[in-house]
Formats: sequence, structure tokens, C-alpha cells
Amino acid sequence: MKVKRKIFGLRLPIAIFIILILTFFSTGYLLIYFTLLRNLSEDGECISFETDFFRFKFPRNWYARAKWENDSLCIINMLTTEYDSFFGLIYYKSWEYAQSIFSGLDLRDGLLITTFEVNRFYGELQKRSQNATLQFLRNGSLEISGYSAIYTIFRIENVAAENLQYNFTGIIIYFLTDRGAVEIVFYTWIDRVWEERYETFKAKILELLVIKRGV
Amino acid sequence: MGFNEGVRKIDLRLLVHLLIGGLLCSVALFFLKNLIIIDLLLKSLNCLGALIFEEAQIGKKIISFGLIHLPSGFLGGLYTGYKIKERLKINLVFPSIIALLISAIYTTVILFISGYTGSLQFFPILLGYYFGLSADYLMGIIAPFLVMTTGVYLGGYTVSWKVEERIEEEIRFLKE
Repeated sequence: MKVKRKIFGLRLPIAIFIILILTFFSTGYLLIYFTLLRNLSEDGECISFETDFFRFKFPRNWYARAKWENDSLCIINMLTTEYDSFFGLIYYKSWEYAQSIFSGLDLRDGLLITTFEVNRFYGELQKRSQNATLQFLRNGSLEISGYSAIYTIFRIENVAAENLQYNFTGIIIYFLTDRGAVEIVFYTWIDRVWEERYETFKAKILELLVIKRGV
Repeated sequence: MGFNEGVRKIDLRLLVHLLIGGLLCSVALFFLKNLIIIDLLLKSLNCLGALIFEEAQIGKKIISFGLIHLPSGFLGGLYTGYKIKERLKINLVFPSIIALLISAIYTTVILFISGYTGSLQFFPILLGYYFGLSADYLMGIIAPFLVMTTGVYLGGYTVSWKVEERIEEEIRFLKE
């Protein structure tokens, strides 16, 4: 029996190599593409994401990390398409666990929690950049999915990283749910884009965020 | 005595070429991992956000098998196949094992050079960052290893393919 030694004029191993590359790429891409299709919003611009505790939508080209979850926490984090802003959502599954994180603080005092979190974030940045300065710009309340939430908008200036100076502007939102607590963080490190990114964040994420009842 | 020395020489030569083959695999892995940014590729395809889902993360891994692990194994295999002609079936297993070991050693050295003395929690992060491997055994170690080994075999046999063809032709010629 005559055995074919070449495919498309290529040595068999090279042909298999090329076929495998194409197969891996197309399989991986199709998996991603069909996952995307299954979860696209009606207008095709956003991805709908749902957990046992909440659901929300976000622009399809934001750089999302996989959901991180354990018995006490569920964490979502992603970057905007331009890689200049960060969005994070932390769901504390029980008040007890939230209390253990914010030790000594009254969980019902949202302003205390947001201030604590801003200071904690500032402290982390200060470890790398001692000249960084913190300003609290505005506090307030807003309604998210029927819950009353407290927010703090802040600005941290002169953060040095890799020989460049950054000014962070961001918002931390906090509210208690029926059994747990939600913390939302959104900030940018590019001054001029804050207004635009914040508007997108408000319209596309915050206003469409749904916290499931009884959780 | 002379025979034993000969065997030792051959083994040493074999070992050196396998090590170089493995080193080539890990160097290629390092460069391809940092050169081919799959996230940018997905961004241009307008589906970066899908990575929030586990299935899409698996899809990304599969793409990295095809664009990073398979070619790096193939490159290591090309060298190994070029230098070693005997017992390819067995010898071609080693470059990918050596590449995994080199990747782990490199990551450990980087961890210590950076002055980090805590627990090894950053080891898998760095291993993923530099080589596209991770602490998830099936998708992070075993699957990349198998894909890389496949690449090594394909690269190794690509070089010796011509030799096999020639030998077959010679046998056919002798039979005639």
C-alpha cells in the first residue's frame, strides 16, 4: 500500500502543525464567540452577566477578568476598552463577613465605610508613592436596584509609577442588601477622561445593575 | 573501557542537545507569550468582555495552546530533531519536560531576585505572566505540556522526514 507522505506539498508533520494551529485558534475563538453571542444584550453593544446575587451589563469590549467567588465573596473586576479605568464590584455574601472585613465599623453607616475604603486605597498607593495626596470631592446618596447607596468621589494626585505621574479620580459606592453588602469601585488614572468614563459607568453599569432580592 | 567511554560520550552529547532543545522551547515560550497578546487579538475582534465567563477563559487557553505552546514546542523539536537522529520516539519527550522545569526555575529565581520572601502565592501568577502556565493543573500544566510535547514531536519529525523518505527510496531502489 502506498502511504502518502505529503499534504498540500508539505511534509506531513508541518502540515499537521499548521492544521493544529488553525484548529486550536478556531476552536478557541468559536468558544469565545458563541459564549459572547449567548450573553449579548438586545442592542448587541453590551454583555449581560448574572450570578446568584446580582446581574448587570457592561460594554462588550471591556477587558473583563473571570468572576472570582468563594463562600463569602463574589468579585468582578474589569478595565475599560481603553485600559484607562477600572471597575470592580465586591459582593459580601453575609453581614457577618462584611463586619469581619470592616472591623469596628458600623455597617449601616455607609459614609464611614466608603471613607474607610478610600483611605485604604490611598494607603496602598502611598506605599509606592509617598507624595500622593488625597482629596474628598463629594459624598452623596443614590438608589441602586431599589437599595439606598452611599457614595464618595475622591481624587488622589501625584501618584508616581514607572517614572510617570498619575492623578486618580474615582467613586466608591456602598450599600447593604437583605443579607449581605455591595461595594462598587470605579476609578480612572487619566484626568481628562473621568467625566466621559463616569457617564458611561453610570449609564451602562450602575443604572442597569440588579441586586436579587433575598440575598 | 573504550566502548563504555563511547557510550558515555554519546549520552553526554544527547543530554546536551536535549537540554538545548528544552531551553529553546522555554525561550520560545517566553517570547511568544509576551509577543502574541491574545487579549489585543480579542479586542480587535470586539469580544474581550466575554472573558468574564469561564467558557471564554477556556477558549482563550485553547487559542494560547495553538499560538504559543505548540509553536514553541515545534521550535525546540526542530533543533532536537536536527541534532538527534536516534530513538526519536523516546528522546523527543524530554525537551518539553526540560522546558517546564526551566520555566519553573526561572520563575522561582525571578521571585527571589525581586526580594519577595513570603509564601509562594505569586509563583503561579508569575508563571502565567511569563510562560502562560498556571497552577490549574489540567489547563495550566498538563494540557500545555501535552500540546508542547506534540509540537516537539512534529518539529523533530519534520527534520527527519526527509531522511525517512530517502531511506524508503533507497530500499525501493535496492528492491528493484
